[in-house]
Amino acid sequence: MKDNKIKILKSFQDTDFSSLRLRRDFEINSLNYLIDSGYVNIDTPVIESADLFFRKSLGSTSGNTYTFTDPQNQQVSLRPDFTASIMRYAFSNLKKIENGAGKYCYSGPVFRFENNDESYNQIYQIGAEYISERKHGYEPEVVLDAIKCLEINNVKEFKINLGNVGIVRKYLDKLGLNNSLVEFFLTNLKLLNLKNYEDELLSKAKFQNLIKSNKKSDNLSKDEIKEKFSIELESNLGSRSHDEVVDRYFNKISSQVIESEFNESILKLKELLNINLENININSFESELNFEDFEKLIDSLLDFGIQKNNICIDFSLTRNLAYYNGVVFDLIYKNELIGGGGKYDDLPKMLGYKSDYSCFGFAINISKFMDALNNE
Amino acid sequence: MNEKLKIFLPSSGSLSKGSMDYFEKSELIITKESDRKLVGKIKGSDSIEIYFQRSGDIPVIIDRGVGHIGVTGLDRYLEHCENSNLSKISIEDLGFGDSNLVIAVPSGWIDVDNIYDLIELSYEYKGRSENLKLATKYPNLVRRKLEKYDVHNIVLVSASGGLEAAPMIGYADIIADITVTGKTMKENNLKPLKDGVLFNSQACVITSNSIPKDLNIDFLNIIKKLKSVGKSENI
Repeated sequence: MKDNKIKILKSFQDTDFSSLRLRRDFEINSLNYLIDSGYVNIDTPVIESADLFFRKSLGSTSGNTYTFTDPQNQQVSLRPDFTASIMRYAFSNLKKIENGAGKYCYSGPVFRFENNDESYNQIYQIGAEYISERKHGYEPEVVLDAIKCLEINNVKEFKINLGNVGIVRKYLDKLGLNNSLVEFFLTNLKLLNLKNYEDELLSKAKFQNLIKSNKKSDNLSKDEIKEKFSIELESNLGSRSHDEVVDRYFNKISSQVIESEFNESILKLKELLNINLENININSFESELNFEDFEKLIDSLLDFGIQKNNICIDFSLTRNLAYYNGVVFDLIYKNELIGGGGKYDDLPKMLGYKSDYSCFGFAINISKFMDALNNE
Repeated sequence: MNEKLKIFLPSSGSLSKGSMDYFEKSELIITKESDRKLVGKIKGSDSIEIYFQRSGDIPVIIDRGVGHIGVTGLDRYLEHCENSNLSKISIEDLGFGDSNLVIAVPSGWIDVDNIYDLIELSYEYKGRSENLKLATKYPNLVRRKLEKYDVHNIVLVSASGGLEAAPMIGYADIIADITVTGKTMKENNLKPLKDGVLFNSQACVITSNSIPKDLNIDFLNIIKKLKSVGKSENI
């Protein structure tokens, strides 16, 4: 006999009364704190144009996004997080930001497809986004707001991992690396924590055609390129111009590095990644990279009473490279990543809005926090 | 009335002919009253019904438990049901319907040869607040494959036909489509990336995970016969 009973979907869960109460308490306590601190509580649709989330980040979330065609034949997604929706809301209502209401908080479910038995696909978040006229200096306020949301819910024993994508990018630029290598290293920073990091990075860079075998190889001039590929360049180039293609080809063949230069960059990058809480004040990069704001952030955390051993400086932390461009942080509770955030000044532009504002946000995954509590 | 075992086969194209031939080799002779009829039978068996449907619809038909056994392209199944626990691939390669899911760019893009060029180009687009757009009929499959390359900032746009013209008309910058010989791409001024084969597809047998008990003997018999000429066995 065919089993005709409808069951709950895999990786989704019902919430019983006591868990629901715990989740709502966490949500209400946090929102009350944030509203008292000047954040405006808003809500956005659970379903949005798929493009909103894809533009924000294909790499980290799109593969995990529930995307489908709706009855009006539009590609739509269940929100995988709130940030893009809040930015759409805020920058569609720019007058409100100009009038000083650039602080928003939210709560609700987000949906991320994970093909494993260890996590659920509908999770609950509370979070906040801060849109600032000041380009920097306001970050400690937002990080501390995230921490206070934990503390107000009696979460005391958490750790905070701090990184700064902006400092790493600036450092890579100062090393004189071309764009391809800068993006390559930023994407692969975590590999530097492996034992055989040099081999891993080199083989990956070779696979990506970033390494050339001989420094003395001759490069073509732009005119020579045009002549050599005249037939190809006459064909339809789609959205790109003739010069754009030639310029990029020229840059591509002239920007490959030889293996020894590549290895030297790895060593220098490793020096930056060796910075920790003890040596951050005496590191040799301080003057050239301007650690001032980053150090102020650390000081604010220490002043707030966070123990030194609960703060970890980790320059390999990037969270989501597609849009973070400054401080990033993870909140860890009982070895579970329960939240985090960072600075993402370019996101409004990626979504098609004009913006001279700086943006910083965080989210706390209440479901993950409750899992950590239950595992205790 | 007793429920019958329902087998779904492609109604047209190379997968249809291949399926009919494959069933015949498996000693399962399909009969139907006319070529236009979408329902048929297995000769000598009244407890099995054959339905002919578009190969693209068959994965969902089997996954939803409407049908019990289906033949379709591996690409179609993985696009719609890769992570489903309601159905599975029972024979992965029937030895026909071979094709590749390939990323192709305008042939005049002399600066783009591989996926990493695309990643870099996507960052350049991002730098001017634009997105590199990829048109495909297989958004799920393409997205999952591209993820493995740390791809950021490529927006997938869904399209149902005439993909090769998408870059020319400005609907998308590049495409990812199924190709057998690559001839149509070439004729439309597109070149596949050197490492742009995202996926090799072929005809496969898919089965529902909820086969009614009283159909189980027929079900296992059919699968056994199909496997007897199949290339791989992973039921």
